[in-house]
Amino acid sequence: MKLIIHDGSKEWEDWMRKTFLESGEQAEIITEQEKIRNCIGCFGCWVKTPGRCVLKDDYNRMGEKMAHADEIIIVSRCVYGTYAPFVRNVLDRSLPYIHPYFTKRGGEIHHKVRYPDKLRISVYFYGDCTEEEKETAVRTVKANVLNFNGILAHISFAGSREEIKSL
Amino acid sequence: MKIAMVNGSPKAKDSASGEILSMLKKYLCGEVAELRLNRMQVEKQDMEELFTCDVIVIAFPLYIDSVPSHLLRCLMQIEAYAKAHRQERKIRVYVAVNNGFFQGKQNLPAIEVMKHWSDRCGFTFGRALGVGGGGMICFLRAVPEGHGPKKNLSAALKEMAEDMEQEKLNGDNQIKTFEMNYPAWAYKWQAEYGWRRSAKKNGLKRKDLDKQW
Ligand SMILES: Cc1cc2nc3c(=O)[nH]c(=O)nc-3n(C[C@H](O)[C@H](O)[C@H](O)COP(=O)(O)O)c2cc1C
Repeated sequence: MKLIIHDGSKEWEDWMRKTFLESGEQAEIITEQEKIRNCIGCFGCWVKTPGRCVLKDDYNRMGEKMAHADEIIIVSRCVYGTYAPFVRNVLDRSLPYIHPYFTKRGGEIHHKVRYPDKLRISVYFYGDCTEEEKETAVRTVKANVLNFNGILAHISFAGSREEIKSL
Repeated sequence: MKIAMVNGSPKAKDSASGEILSMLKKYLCGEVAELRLNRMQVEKQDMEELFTCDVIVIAFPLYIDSVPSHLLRCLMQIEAYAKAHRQERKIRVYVAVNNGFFQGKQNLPAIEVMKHWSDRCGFTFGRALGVGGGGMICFLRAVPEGHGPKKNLSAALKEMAEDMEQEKLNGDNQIKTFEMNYPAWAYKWQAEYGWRRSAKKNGLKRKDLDKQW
């Protein structure tokens, strides 16, 4: 199943389905509908209810949603070389996907995995950004892929959301 | 000269970011305003205060290789305010990011984000530190500055304070990443012991940490 995280409105969902899914393909789409709470850095998702965020809102099960997906597709405005706040917020709330223990990956210390399967990660940035911001965004995505023990399937930059389709 | 010390950690207390700022404060003599950006909005009075300062130093934790989302929202509000209220004074920005892993260089993407933000606001980017091993900083309050595990951190903060006060900009040496003066294996061991102890306090068993849903 695909997990799509994007920073657009509810109306974008049709567009998402048409652009990224085969007909009839199942997907979970994460949209900013309910108010999302920001991570408060309590680590409850590791030591209180391991694998699940302790905050009470619609976004407290991101860890398991990632675990049940085989591919994550992120569509986001590129802001200062990172994702838009909503997408960043969802990623912060995805900390329960990983395990608190440390392990070595790519010569650096990273977290052990909670779920063994490798996630395919695709990122479609859009919006006006400088070349330096693009470089930072690529570095950020690569670091995320390593931390989530994933595989980078795609990364691109488009001037606008509509342009993504032509990539 | 007025310096805004901004703690961008969402933690109510005992944040490594707060501890880094209080270490920095010991090296500063000018007027200091202490602010917190721990929610999704910058309060009106904090926004106005920020723009009365010559220097803004922001300390925050690395979240998923980037700037925590609540802080990112605040940065965008500050950019909008900066654009709406043209400044005569050029504000200088300093940054101290800390992360949970041992290696300080993992903070680089977040530092770059701060630089791009500073550019878009029309501020001047001064210096940035990427501090690895942030998980131990709050346990070192009793250690004198410049000693033991604090050696690198104290030296870097002292340099940063000097830069701020002498209005120095560092050209190519703006960004410095480093680790605490402590063995990586011991840091790992203590961190993992800490997670087991917290889990136990919450009534969990060791293997509950591995829970899959
Ligand atoms: C949601 C979340 C994501 C995190 N992501 C990372 C990360 O990508 N890399 C890392 O080294 N540490 C990461 N950490 C650990 C924090 O950077 C570390 O605990 C830091 O010392 C917290 O600083 P503070 O006390 O100032 O909030 C993360 C922590 C949280 C809560």
